[in-house]
Amino acid sequence: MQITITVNGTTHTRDVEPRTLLVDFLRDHLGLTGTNIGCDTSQCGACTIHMDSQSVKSCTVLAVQADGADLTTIEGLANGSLHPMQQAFWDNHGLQCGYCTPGMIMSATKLVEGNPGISEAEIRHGLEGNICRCTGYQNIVKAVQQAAGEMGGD
Amino acid sequence: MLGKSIFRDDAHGKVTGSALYPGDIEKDHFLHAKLLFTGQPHARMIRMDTAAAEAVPGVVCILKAEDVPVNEHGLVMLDQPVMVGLNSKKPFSDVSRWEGDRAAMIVAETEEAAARARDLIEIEWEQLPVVTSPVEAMRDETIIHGEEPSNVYKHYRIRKGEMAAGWAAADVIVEETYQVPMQEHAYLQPEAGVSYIDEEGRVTVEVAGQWTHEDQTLIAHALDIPKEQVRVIYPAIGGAFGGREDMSVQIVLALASQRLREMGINRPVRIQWTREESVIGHHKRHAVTIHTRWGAAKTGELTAIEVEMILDAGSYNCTSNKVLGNAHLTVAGPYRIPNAHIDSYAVYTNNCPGGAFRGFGAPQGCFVAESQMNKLAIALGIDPVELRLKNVLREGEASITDTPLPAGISIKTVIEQCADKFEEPFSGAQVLPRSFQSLPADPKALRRGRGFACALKNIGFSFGFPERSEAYVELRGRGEIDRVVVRHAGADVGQGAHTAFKQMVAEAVGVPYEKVEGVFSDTAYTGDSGSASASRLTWMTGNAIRGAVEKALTLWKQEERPAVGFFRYQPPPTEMLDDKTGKSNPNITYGYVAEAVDVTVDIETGHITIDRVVCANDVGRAVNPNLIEGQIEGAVVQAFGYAVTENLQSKNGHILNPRFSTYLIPGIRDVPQKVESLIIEEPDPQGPWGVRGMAEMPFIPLAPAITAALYDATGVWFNELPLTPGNVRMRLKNTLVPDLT
Amino acid sequence: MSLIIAQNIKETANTNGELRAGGTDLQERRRSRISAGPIIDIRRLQGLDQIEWQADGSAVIGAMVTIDAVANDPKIQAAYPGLAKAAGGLATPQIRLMGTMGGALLQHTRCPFYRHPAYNCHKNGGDECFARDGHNPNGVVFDLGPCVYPHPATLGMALLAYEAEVDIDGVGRRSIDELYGDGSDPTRDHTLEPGQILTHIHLLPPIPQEKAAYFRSISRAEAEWPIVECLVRLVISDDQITFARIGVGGVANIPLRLENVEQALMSQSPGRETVEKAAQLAAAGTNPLPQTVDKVRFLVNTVWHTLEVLSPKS
Repeated sequence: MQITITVNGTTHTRDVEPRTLLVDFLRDHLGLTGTNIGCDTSQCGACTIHMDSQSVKSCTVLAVQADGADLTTIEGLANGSLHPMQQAFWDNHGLQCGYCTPGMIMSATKLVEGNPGISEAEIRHGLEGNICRCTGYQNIVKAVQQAAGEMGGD
Repeated sequence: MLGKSIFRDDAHGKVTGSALYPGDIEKDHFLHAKLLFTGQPHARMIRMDTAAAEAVPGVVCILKAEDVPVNEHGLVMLDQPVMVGLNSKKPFSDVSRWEGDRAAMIVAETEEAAARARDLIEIEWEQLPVVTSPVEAMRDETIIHGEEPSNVYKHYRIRKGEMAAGWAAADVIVEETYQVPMQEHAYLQPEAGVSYIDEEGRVTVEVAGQWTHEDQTLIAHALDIPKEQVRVIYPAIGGAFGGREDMSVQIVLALASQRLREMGINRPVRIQWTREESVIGHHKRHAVTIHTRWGAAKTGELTAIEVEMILDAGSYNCTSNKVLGNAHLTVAGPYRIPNAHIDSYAVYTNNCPGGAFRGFGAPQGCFVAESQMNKLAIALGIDPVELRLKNVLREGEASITDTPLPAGISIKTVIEQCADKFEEPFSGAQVLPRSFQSLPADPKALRRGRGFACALKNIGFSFGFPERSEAYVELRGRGEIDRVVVRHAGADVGQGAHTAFKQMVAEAVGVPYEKVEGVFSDTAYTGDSGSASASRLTWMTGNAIRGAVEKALTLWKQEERPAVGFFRYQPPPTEMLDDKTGKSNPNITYGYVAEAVDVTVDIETGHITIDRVVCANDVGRAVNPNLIEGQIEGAVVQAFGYAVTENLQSKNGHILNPRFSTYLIPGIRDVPQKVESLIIEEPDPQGPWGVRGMAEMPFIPLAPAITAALYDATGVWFNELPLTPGNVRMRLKNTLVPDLT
Repeated sequence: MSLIIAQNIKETANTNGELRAGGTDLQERRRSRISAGPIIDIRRLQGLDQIEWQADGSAVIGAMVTIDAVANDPKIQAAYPGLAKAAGGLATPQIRLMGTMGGALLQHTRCPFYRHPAYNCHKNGGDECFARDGHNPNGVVFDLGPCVYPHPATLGMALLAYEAEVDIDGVGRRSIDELYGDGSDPTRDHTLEPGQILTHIHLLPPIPQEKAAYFRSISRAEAEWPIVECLVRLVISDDQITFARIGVGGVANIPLRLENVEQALMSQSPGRETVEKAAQLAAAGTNPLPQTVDKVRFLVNTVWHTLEVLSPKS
């Protein structure tokens, strides 16, 4: 099946097996291995990307379902310099093993859009779909708060 | 350079997605592998037919037990077959003892072809009795390892003092039975790896592990080739926590590459496990049952303890005998105990093997010791903090092994500082009483309570293991040192070890951090580091780095350019426990920790929330305070999962919930909102710059602190984990809390 | 072909494939190899992703409308507050964005035995319920049939409390009761035949003075199927309860309404005593398993707690 997907501003047309998951398409067809697979069953959120400006877990989307969609992955977030959210995770030690980090950052950037003064409770509620096994989440919350302020509602 | 919270080097790759984990490595012309698990907790293979599988287009080869030159592995005992199957040279390897035993490795052009072929492998099994209860296994009606006389394959003893005198001196005796469950590591990155023959002809495996050189040793053993012909490289590692110590995909990948070479096929192989494969296919924290009696005089001094501990080792030893040793010693806590009688057993069953997991036996041992201390405190009417301070070991006093702990015992300090910190009010609003007794309970269903616990844990390998760590430090430049390159195998599993190593190098050489480069975790370039485990890595590596830097600086002064120093650090040797009495010097050194918690329990729903955690952890010298806080916060949350949310269910040897929808690792709203880290720096005399290992310690006392808080809140003791809402509800109901009926 | 992208509803009929909408349940079952056959992707179906408002003020929700859309739609929040609360309380943000109303209603049981390849239970071609022998503390307290694992559909429970109906293509309008059956058939989680598709959810006109509360008791803060959940709809007029609907989940292999509790509330003053007395009736008719005996009290307390949210503070 042929699909056309725009990822990080570049449009790709590819033949895919009908059962190919979007996350496998990103990783295996496009070589975008920043999007990680942690559970295969939409629990952990490591594979979170933006699809048509919503946070989705790419392990539950079929590639063919994303035909025509506009996607952003972790690789597309930095624009010359690091995105404020990426910088904030770095500055605040918001990561250890780093495997959940791309999904966490993608969820967080969507979460804080239009909400520069986002509260800790809102952050925690919004990140419930992303699991981290290393950090205890404390520094992740700090990072998201910092970035939200810097992004100023963008 | 020490004491600075340098931003970790690997963060750039991790926040941009460019970090490469084993499953991200791209090579040309990959072949794809799948492992077939037996799915049989206990069965003997009668027949295996791979003809249909081999006929699947794209299948390159299928490896079986008979293809493994030396079909055995194991970190401590070689009791585990690489693959279960027929015609193996290793006796008894036709028996599957675990549902996660491997029966075949399929290598194919595509993942789909490998998966299809895997489905077409036909195996006929003769079912054997599945033994899942350690108590039943101890009767030896069914022997799980045919070569062993008994399922009880390890028994440690402590015989100290005179028990009769100890009981006679006791005014209060607390006798209890405890049951602690398995725990799944649930590192976010499922097992994956690639293997190939490198440019020097070495079988090369890139994988996430904890000890490159041990992987190398075990691969070489199974393939029956010299170690030098095996190379192990660790790329980015997606968490480990002890769960990557044992062999998952290492040996089978190497075996595949070796076979492909024999077939004249020069192509790399990759494998990627699913989450289910990860949960079913690797060891767990041990389930342990402990019966114990503790006696104390009315003044608070402990007089005697008696313990019987049964550890479910599961189907293979992995590191169970060592874990048992740790649990055996930590069950006495950091206390002065004049009379002790302890028997600890490791027992084979057909459950998932137990093995290394952050704390390595200490969480189980400490849960018992600290629960007993908290109960004694109630029985004696003594504040639990005071009771501990009366009994903690001091320099020179005989520990449970009848020898003093190594110098630098800071248990008293961590207890006092933790207790003092906890006295401080919440945000200035609420002044709390000194005693760790009761908080004002809310009306209706919500009850609040407060609990305290402490712990000790060894740093480094114990019981006579030849500990070592090797480092190379290379000084480059002409007149001045321009650049320093450190080569070390130590695994950065996410804790930030490589950043800390470079800080220590900068400190030792006296150059800015930016001048230090690292070459890490590749057996081709580094010496043996020992594993990233046992809270040993920073401690051991620091000592190795100091030695290597000293040598390099000497050569530098002698005008050698570049000046390369190599040092193999070996700590003072340790001893195995005496068979009959347990008397020994089993450990190099220890870390000390104390935790206090405020807990709210909803007695209607059984739901527990942690309102506050204070953790006082003696780290000796903080190399990188932010990284240390990260370890404390992460360990506390992992321990919260162990104590409360995680409930690995298994039936007839099958794990029932091998995925995150039903195995609930804590989410961002489940966890304590704030973990207050008290970093204490009482130098370890043997540690580099006084450094003490620390990353396991904050895990250890949380569970007993929570159960103490639950008692404070409800008047009911909880001797079993996990404290899931269902379990809490049932226990509260069965214990008849008066106003709950 | 292993995947059919259905362009119109008729294409979904007469196939032996499984329908795939948001995919959050199906994907897990494929990973655990419980689902292996062909898949029919229905995300392209036209006209199923809208909430339509009728002249009488009632809503018709397309089966492909996401859970998130229902949870956050201001008109739904105003007209059917309990439905919006229940939708917002389940799963996690990303799943609510991807999961559809139809998929939420038709998801399969979360029973670990059903989802384990080593066990063939009633729902997997076998003839046994492995959860019945005492292994499942989260089992049912209303034992309605051979399968003793609770039904997972929070929104099924919510729509039952709203007396909604669903359209099944080629079959017609069915009540939620009919959608789930009476719990006696252990082989299925709903009554749709393979290839049949649920297209729309029809709600009754909203009751302007309705107050609703939803309470979900789970093992963690969020992101888990309920141990017990309860949705209460009340209309209170002149200090008298004039309308009551109560749905409960997590307690039977189908969503349930507690009509006896509803009746006990009718015409009563919504004070503490009324609520307490009525909530006790939730235990009536329970026949728990040995391991779920304590869950009866939990059910009572959950109903009580949910009612209390709506009763004026006494």
